[in-house]
Amino acid sequence: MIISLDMSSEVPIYEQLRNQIVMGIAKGELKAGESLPTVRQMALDAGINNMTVNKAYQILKAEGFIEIDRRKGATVRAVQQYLIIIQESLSLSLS
Amino acid sequence: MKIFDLLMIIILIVTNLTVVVACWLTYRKNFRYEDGMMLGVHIPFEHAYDSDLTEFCKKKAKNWKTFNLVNLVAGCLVCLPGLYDWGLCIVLWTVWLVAYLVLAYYFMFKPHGDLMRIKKERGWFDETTKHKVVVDTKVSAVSDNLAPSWKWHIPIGLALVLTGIVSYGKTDGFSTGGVELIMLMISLAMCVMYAGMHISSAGKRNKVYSENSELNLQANKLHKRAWAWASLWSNILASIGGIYVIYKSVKNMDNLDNSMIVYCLLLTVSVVIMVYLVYKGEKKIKKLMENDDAPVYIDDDEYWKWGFYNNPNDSRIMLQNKWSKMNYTVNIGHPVGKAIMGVTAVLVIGLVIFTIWTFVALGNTETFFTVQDDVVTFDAFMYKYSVDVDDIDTIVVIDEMPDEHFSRVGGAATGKVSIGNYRGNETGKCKLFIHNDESPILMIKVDDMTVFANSTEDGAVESWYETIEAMR
Repeated sequence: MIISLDMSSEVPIYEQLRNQIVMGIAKGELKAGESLPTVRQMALDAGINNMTVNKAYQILKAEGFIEIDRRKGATVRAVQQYLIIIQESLSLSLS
Repeated sequence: MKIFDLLMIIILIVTNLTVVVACWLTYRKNFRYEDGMMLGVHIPFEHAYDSDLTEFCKKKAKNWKTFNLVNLVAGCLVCLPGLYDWGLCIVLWTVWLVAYLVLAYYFMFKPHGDLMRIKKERGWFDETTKHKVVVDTKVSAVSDNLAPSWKWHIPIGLALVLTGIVSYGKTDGFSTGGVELIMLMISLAMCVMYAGMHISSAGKRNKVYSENSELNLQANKLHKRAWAWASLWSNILASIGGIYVIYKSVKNMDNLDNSMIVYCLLLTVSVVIMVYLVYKGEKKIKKLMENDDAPVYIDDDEYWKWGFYNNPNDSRIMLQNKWSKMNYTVNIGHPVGKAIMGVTAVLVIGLVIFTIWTFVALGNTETFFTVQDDVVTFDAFMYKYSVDVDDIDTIVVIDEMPDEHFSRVGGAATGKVSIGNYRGNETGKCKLFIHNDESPILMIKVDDMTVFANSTEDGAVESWYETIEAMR
């Protein structure tokens, strides 16, 4: 998947990164179980700070879109799990 | 004229021709529309073949060709003074090389500046892509596995260290003159350099050529593997050369000149292999991209001026040169890039000045003979030798140097002078303070050292002889 970041945008870089990964998952460009680049490699290839990438990944992890394993790195979670997560989030919001 | 001098002239001519031809061919393709660019300027496809642009590029291409043809001839002519005076030859060669590089820069990058101005006037800058950064997650996710590991350089380094240890043992702490130690240091430094080149190239930012991830993966793999294998093979060949010279020196099987010829040949082959592998890699990438129907276009021309990349917002220190994909250039907008450029400039300018000064000084050098407190001193150029009169075994005036080969271990020599530390096939270790065309020569034997000295001044050698004899 091609991620495009606009360095002159008012939208923070970590947010652009998070949004594009979520969009990629939704469109099927990023499949369940697919590895994402490591924080270091993503930061190097995008020319941004490690902390910016780490922030985006932590948000995605908290939202349930990716898993982070110390050995395997970041991987995309299976689709059914998203539906469960979305259901749980909606339930929490309604209750 | 000696065979050695003729060989040196041939080597110099071949070097000059290689520099000119390499420069000419490398930048020749920039005058046509390729990879969305002309003369390093991104031009919208719909304007790529406008008649005025085409004519502009044709004219500049012709100037570039003429400039290089003239320098092919000039590069040969500057070597001819080597037939009678190496000092003059080296000075002329240095001046020619600097002039060629400065003018080549002008002939290539002045047209680039002109085309940038045209682009600005016609409003062809794409503001939407200027600040865009693209990443291909598929490529980035496997980036560490795109090239062979740099750890393959470790066995090569260990082989050199082992050679050094064995050599140290066999010569009881390396021979005087230190040929083995010097060659070991050079080879280890080159090993570290090639390993560093491997690590650096493998760790470079992955490039996004296309919307097609498969193409990006293949292209990045080709690029990184080319540089990795180039570094490995160059390291292997350079180290074999170093080990060979050390081995020959330890065994005393050969005079140093023959070993150095083999070493230089291996170095040359390593450079050729490196250039070939990198060139082949880039050619395969170009072929791969020929059928790409979704190229990624980023107009970063704003950051490229006069051949330099200047983008303070880009974290990269080194990046691929857009004029020659086989080269890398420094981001002078980055503080470290600025420092690298500054240090390099100082070193290069310093080296040029030092080279010219050295050979001018060598050409005018004289041997100074002084006596103080029974100690006799010979001093010429940057070399000095002092000996107590009581330590002198024999002293004699000879008409010419002994008929044997003298290898220079550390010193300076032109067609006119030979100064410094030498080793004769029969004489062994010696110090030379010789004006080659002058006679007679004073020969002094001290323990395991022989000193040869003479002067351009009439009667000087005889005067030295009488002075020393009177003190003994």
